[in-house]
Amino acid sequence: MEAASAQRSGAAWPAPLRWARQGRGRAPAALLVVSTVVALLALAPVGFLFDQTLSIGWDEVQRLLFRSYVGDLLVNTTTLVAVGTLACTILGVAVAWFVERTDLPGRRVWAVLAALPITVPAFVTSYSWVSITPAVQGFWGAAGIITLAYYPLVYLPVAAVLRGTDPALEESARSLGMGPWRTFFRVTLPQTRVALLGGMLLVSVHMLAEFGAFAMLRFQTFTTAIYDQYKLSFDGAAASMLASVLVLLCLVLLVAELGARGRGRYARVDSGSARPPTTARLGRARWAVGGGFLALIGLALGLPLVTLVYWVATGSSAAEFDLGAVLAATGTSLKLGLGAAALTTLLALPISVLSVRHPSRAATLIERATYIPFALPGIVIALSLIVLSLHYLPALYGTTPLLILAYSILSLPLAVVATRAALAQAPPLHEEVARSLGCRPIQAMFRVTLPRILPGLGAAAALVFLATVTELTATLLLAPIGTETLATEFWAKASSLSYGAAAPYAALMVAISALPTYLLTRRLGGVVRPAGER
Amino acid sequence: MSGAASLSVAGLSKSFGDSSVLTGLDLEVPAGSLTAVLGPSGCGKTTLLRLLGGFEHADAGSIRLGERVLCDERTHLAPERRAIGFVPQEGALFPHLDVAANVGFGLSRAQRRGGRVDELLELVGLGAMAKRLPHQLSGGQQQRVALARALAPSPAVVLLDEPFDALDAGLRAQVRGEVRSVLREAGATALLVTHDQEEALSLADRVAVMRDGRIIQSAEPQAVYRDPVDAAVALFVGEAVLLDAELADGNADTALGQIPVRGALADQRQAVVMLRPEQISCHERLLDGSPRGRVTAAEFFGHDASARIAVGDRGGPITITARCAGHRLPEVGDQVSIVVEGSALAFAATGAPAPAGLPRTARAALVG
Repeated sequence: MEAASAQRSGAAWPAPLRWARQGRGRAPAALLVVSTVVALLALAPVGFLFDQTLSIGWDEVQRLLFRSYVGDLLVNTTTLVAVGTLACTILGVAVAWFVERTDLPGRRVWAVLAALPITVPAFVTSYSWVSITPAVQGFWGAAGIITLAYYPLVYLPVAAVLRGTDPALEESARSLGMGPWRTFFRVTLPQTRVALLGGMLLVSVHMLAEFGAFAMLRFQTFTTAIYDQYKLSFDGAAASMLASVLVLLCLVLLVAELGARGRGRYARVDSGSARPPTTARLGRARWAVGGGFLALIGLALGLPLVTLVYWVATGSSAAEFDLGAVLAATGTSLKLGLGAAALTTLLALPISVLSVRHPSRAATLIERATYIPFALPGIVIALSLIVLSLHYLPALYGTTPLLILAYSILSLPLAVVATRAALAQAPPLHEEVARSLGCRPIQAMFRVTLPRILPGLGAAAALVFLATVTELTATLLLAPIGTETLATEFWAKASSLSYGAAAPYAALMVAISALPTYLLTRRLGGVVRPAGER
Repeated sequence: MSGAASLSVAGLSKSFGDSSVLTGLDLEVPAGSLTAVLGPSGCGKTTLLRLLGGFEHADAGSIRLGERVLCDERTHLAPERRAIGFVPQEGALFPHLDVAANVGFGLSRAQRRGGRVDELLELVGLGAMAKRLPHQLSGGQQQRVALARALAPSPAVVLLDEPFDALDAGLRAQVRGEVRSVLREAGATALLVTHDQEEALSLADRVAVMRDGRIIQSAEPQAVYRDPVDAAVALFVGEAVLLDAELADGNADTALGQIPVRGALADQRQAVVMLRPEQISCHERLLDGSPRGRVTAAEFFGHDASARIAVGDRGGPITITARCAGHRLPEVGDQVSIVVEGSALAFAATGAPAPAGLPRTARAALVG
């Protein structure tokens, strides 16, 4: 690190860059300790998993792993993740660019609509499609539906960066003789690199951990296999063996992303009064692109929703419909979602501060550690938490706090990615000015940086809330007796093929998660409002 | 906090890895003065400011503010306890706060209520802008708000990091004047770093020339300009004509004839003498007994002009620069007489003198 900081402070940097790049010094001990604790918390389930795996002995490992069943699972899972991530990346970047940088008719409306599919849980989308036709079951159906469900994870962060990028960069590229396409690939896209890679990582770990959708679509991956082993054949050893392979896949992704991200840091140095970006003219192609958007939204959002409305209409008139149960489940889901959002954002903040403000090998390690549980199926987190709590804190077993802790561990990466991105855009120079005006470091953080990143923290909380309200598998296992959420009720009904009875729960899940998404897109569309308009 | 105080830096050293940035820097900033640290890009100015502000730890040396030790072998006072205001390049106003809140940031609640914010906004002439957000201000206004913000807690010293660099040329002169009068009125001790010699000479009470991580000359602007410590400084703070000379009896024998010299080099025979172009005038009416030359280039600036003149010399023709009034600019190819006014400054002859005809940037590079 010493050598690197020497290079950064070298005489060749123009003055403003030198300010931004000079070492921010070592991290405060308290920050390091808190971050380490959070990382360990996130790693506990993996630790348990590997411990279980190792305790069963090498012969047993060989017997469980080296069989064609596992090979099939591996092929199924990796091809699906690869195809799905690639499709999400292309779709997400294209949507972001068209919405942010072109004169596409109605682009403000498209910007909101294109984000909405993320509010519909993938297992609900799959349920809608399956309830129409069983033809979607299988690889291509699964890949298509999962892409339509997850591309907003790429679209949203990339769009945010595209909006914030200084147009002078692109204009310089054009003036240096680059055409629009080369400018896009050599200047615009590299600007979004951190956001894009972050989004791709999210998409692929989501796909690795997805359970409900694949179960609905009858496409066997590691998660569905693990669920079957645990739930149906009560084979803990085989399940944790499969989960271990899944963890390894996740590790590969993390390392790949780390290598691709590089060392770029993107703190904007100046006072941030950049002009709004220029827009490209689509010409006659705008109608074709508009048609494409119509088809995309129709497939990703319209069709599942119309189907859902149909089943709600059918189901709510059925005799078994129970409004009281629906309302109770709604209240429970809301409470759990808010609790998890608050706790997770709080846990993510120290990790982000550490990795953005005090980058080091240890900081990167800690940040990465919090990503790992995300690729674990909820059921593995849940089961390991059950065992851990029974072992160390029996009083915690079967309680709401344990469930919320599980949610937090599961969605910590979402919150870390979001808070990290927000922090990276708040230049450390502002904190230094605050300190020269008499603020202690923690005061500078609260008075200058926190207000700046508050929208980012809100985004983090909203993402966690979304993930929690639609979380299925961990809830199935960890919910205290008598705690029924929208997701568990939906699953119970849908698994027994009562599509109509399941529909109201799904509809409410979608409705509840629409609000934070709306706020998210508004924030991403948010410019600092002039004082007169407040 | 505290009133204006003098700032003394002694033996300050700092390196990053194995590249030394500051190498035993000494600097005195008298209380209430505006001192400019002038140096080319990459000479360590920014590091000096960061050390003064407390954002970096010094490897060696001390920083004192009046009687208070800010930094020495045992002490490192945190930035917030130094009472040193800081105006970064481009202002760095807090974007989420309006102008009044920015200015009041370093004040206690009582001070904010007590009218200090309005007082400062009046001082920088932005009384009507209190409710604006930073992005609604022009660059010059942002810079003035940043200054007001730094001055609000009455710091002992204000640091300004190339504060006019981000402004366009037309605005720069104006904002410069405003900043100077605000600092005067506030009675603050100010330290400004810049690579712009014109800015340093016109703005500051004292100019400290920085090179290779230390201050090599610190004096009033006129003194730095008139009596630079060496040829490189002479070239960095302005245009200079350097001539080989033989010294005898307080006179230098040069290509431009006998010129009286100043500078303590009485026992030297061989020397380099320095003239400023404005000491040299050229006349189209040829005068008897004065050296002659041929105009090889002429640059017209409006208010004045400069002419490059090739002068025959014992060691072959050399080119010198003469300043003349705009309406007296000779034409290229003209034969002119050259008249030198005042005395020349003598430097020890260390190797070949820098050719006077180098472009401005190349000459600046000699210093760095």
